[in-house]
Amino acid sequence: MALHKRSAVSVVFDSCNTVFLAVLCITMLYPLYFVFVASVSEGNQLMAHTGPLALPLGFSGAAYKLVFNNPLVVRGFLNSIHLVVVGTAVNILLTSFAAYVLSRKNVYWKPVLMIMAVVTLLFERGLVPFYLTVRGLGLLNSHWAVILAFAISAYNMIIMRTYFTTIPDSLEESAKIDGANDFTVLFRIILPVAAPVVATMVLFYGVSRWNGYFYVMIFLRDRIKFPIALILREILIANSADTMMAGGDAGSMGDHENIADTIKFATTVVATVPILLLYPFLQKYFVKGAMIGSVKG
Amino acid sequence: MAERDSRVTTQLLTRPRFLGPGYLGMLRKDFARNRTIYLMAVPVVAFFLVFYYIPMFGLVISFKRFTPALGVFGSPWVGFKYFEDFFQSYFAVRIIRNTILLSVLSLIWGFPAPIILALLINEVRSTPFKRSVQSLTYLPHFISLVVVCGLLLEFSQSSGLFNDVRGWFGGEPISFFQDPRFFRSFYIGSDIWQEIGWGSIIYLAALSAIDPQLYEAATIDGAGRFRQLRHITLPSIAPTIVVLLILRMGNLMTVGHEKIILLYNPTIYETADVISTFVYRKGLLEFSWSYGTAVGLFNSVINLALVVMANWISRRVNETSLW
Amino acid sequence: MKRLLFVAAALCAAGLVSASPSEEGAAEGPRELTIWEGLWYNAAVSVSNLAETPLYQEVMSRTGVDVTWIHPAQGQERESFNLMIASNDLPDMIYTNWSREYPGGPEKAISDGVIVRLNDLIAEHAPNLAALYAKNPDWEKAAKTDNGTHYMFPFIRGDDYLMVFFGPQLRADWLDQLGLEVPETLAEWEQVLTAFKSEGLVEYPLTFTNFRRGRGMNRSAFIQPFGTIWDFYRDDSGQVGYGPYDDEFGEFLTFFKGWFDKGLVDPESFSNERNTFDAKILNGVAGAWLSYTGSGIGAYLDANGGEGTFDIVAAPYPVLNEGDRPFFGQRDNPLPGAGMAITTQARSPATAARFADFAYGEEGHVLFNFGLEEESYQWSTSYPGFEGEDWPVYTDVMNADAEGRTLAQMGGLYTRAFYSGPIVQDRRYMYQYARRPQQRHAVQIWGQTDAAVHKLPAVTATPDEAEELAEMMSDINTYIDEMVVKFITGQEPLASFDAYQERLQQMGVERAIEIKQAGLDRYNAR
Repeated sequence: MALHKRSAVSVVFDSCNTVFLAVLCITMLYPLYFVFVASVSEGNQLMAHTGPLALPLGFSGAAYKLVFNNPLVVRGFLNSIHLVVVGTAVNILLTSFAAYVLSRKNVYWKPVLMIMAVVTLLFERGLVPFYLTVRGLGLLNSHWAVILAFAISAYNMIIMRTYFTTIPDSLEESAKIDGANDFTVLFRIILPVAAPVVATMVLFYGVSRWNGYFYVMIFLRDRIKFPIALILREILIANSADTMMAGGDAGSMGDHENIADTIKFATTVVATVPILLLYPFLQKYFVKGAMIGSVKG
Repeated sequence: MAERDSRVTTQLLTRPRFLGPGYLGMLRKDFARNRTIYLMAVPVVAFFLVFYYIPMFGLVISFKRFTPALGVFGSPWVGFKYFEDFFQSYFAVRIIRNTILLSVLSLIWGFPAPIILALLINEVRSTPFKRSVQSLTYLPHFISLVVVCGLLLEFSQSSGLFNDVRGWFGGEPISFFQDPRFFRSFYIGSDIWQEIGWGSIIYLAALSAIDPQLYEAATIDGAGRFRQLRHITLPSIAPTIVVLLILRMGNLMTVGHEKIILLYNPTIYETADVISTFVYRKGLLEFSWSYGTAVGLFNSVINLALVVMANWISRRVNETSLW
Repeated sequence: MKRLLFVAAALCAAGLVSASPSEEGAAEGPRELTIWEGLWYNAAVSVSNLAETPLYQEVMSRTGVDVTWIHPAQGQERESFNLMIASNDLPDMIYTNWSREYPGGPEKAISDGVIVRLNDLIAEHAPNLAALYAKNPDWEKAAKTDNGTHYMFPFIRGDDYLMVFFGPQLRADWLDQLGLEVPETLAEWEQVLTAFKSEGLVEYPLTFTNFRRGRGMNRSAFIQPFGTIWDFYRDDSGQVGYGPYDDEFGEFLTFFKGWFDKGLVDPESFSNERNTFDAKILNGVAGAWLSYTGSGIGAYLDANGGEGTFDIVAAPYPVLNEGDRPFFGQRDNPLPGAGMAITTQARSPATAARFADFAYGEEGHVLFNFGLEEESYQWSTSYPGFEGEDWPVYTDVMNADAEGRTLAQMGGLYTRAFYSGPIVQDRRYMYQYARRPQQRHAVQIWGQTDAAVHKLPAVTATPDEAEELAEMMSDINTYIDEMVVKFITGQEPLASFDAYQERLQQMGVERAIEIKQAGLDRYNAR
């Protein structure tokens, strides 16, 4: 594909392609930029404004101040970190166990496990029975409810298993000759070699742990245990919804209403930035991991 | 949490070895040899049993009139009452239709989008630009659904961004989320926005695996880029496309409730109400636990049938199978 | 595999066997309670559990009962309530609107084994409430089911002044500017709205928030001139009717579609969320709307008050002909239906009853309405307009919070009067909350309707009827919601109103009316 062979059509195509992709990137970025710009705008001006924003309307950190003054936001942040760190660790541990078992040869009951996992992809567990089960285990109102109930995603398990099968047997055999058991093989040999797929899993699981709100909402009862995603959801919808409890004329806006919108945007930024920060660190592994895990059968 | 993830994968289709007749001695040997492996499998099996199979067992309440104080076991049997109620309901046809339409349209628009993006990115010559495009298009995937839907609603108001842009071209403002005609486009469009970059990863991976010598040979033969695309690139990624397509077919009756619930309102139920949202309303808002569970079960059974069908097709086309 | 299933079943069973209800006789039992209740968002600004509020700190120390709340996520109350009931894992007490939120209503909740009958408990452990009922038989009548069963410690609006808090509002400064009077008939309304539009003040003069099911009065203000409303009602002869099934409803649709086509109505009226709606009013892109006294008039004037160019006036509920009395208007029942119930799993029902009863005594009444003496209120005999009367007047702690929190937000910390609760709400709270002349004027003119005649009291259905009704109304409401929008926006010709009525009939609307009628008959016979 040397340059001198490019035909006119080819040049036109390249230019169009570049322009198209650039526009696409702007489309991807603009909403995020909008949120940020709106979050630092003056509440009154933002409320009166319609249309796209290029620069902040005035400049105010008031919304951020209020967001961080909300005890639940700070709490929620810590809760989210707890859920992501412990939850993802459990995910990685159990998923790699499963993937390891499924990637072994000559394990007689292996297909049973595989079928068991695949069926879970097809059948919804009914929400009410699911809730009853979690309650029966005494996990209600505990972070462990969501940590354990989502310990393995069968899809991720399969991706990881595939990656494991691409690791040459020789590595493992030499360790076995030295008397290592399967746990040692998994932790000392397989996982280090499989760093890309582990990074991919951290990203997959981490993102869904961070953003997950639905089951957290279902299983948790104490507001101080709520993660930031749930707080964000409340802030995004709360003032707009008539709650079932309010006995009528319940509510007042006053000063806060003017910056209600900026609070929403500021909370959005606060709840989104951490997970975006995770990505660059894992990116270089992750692309490789996702590729090998997903494409090579 | 993304349990059903469509960027899956060939591995599902690798055939596990068939379960042979279990000789006792062989079993004993197997256990002895793989003791630690089975030990490792214990928590995994326990997980699936406890968090999937027990709740699945609870689906029997579809056939019972579930009363909390009596529990799953004590509640009286009612047979297929709730299934009959559903099929006689004024809305059954509509929500089934909406589910299928939304899903099929998502497939038609949403499935090719990441392939096209991958192909376009693949044609970019400047590596830094290529990298940036890749990284930026992944970004939306990381954003919480709550935020995506919140922004979508904000932008589609009559005074929102979309209408401002329409205004530049002389369009009258439209309240998009009040008109059933627009719901599907916005649902699918925002899905593509959020997942196109993420979805393209798998194709980019497949593209990068193509032997560069093929292109060199083609260039020497005088084949232009479009011919190369047709004769080398597309055939090379075709297996990936076919496998993903088949998997997607299995989920044809599945449209999740979370996003729709964040977006819809009764004025657009006509196009927006699907099986899962109906189940959500019945089971979680209207206390019709058994009814909701029955409708959900009906959906699962259809899914199972679709997967069996897709699997049958895949065995024909691809000579691969899920089981 | 079979064995696995068996184990699964056993585990499942273990999880589902409910704890046996504790014995009522356990004289004292633990002096602690758990209460399930949605947390009001104005309280959620400051606390994550009601137990942390100064109000309940005080209540706990005076009653000697330790209380913790279970608060569902905001906007998720119904789902949470549902799952709690489904799992049969109940706290000691639950505060909700039992007639509305529990399908089948309170009788069903009792027969389902969720909550307990309170008649004996009230007689034995709730002297304050019993005394209140003795003084106000109407309250007791509304608090009971048809069978005479007591099931809740109710939220009571203690005065007529508290029952009217919602109605039509207009931009007073625009009316002045154009030299127009506050409209009374629909024709005058049309003149005013047209003037607002043609004078270029606003593109869509009349706006609504969520003009659809579940938002009560929001949608009935312009329907009631035609002699019906968007709900069940009681006609002049005492018969139950269902508005959306009436021919008059068709007349309304025809009329309202006219306004819609003329561009007098905000096309987003069907989906405006509360915050969008508020923003439209504050930004001057709405000239007339329906809203509350406090969180409407009061809040808008607070927000835009300083400028002097923004003023609001309340308009009476519109009528067809000059001099008519409005058929209907917002008017809450003295007992709106919300109340605190004791569950079958309460550890000590007696403790729960005594705790709840505290609010209905003189001491509790002042505490729950005004908070702590010398902190959130002070006694005064010189409250403007009520000189000579003994008034608990909110202090600056409430009115001028150092952190900039609003009166309502402080009200969420120190009282329950600002939202609702198992208390008797005191009018002296409302006078101080809605203290602007515009607000008092509003309450006064909105109250002048025949709502008391036409509004259906809180009737209850038998458990079987209730289930039938719930199933029917779910479909019926979905259908009506959609059809009304289609009729008004023109997606469906008005000519098919007959077909629409026919469809409603097929869906069982007449049976629904019958059930409501039976409920009303039983109510009247109480």
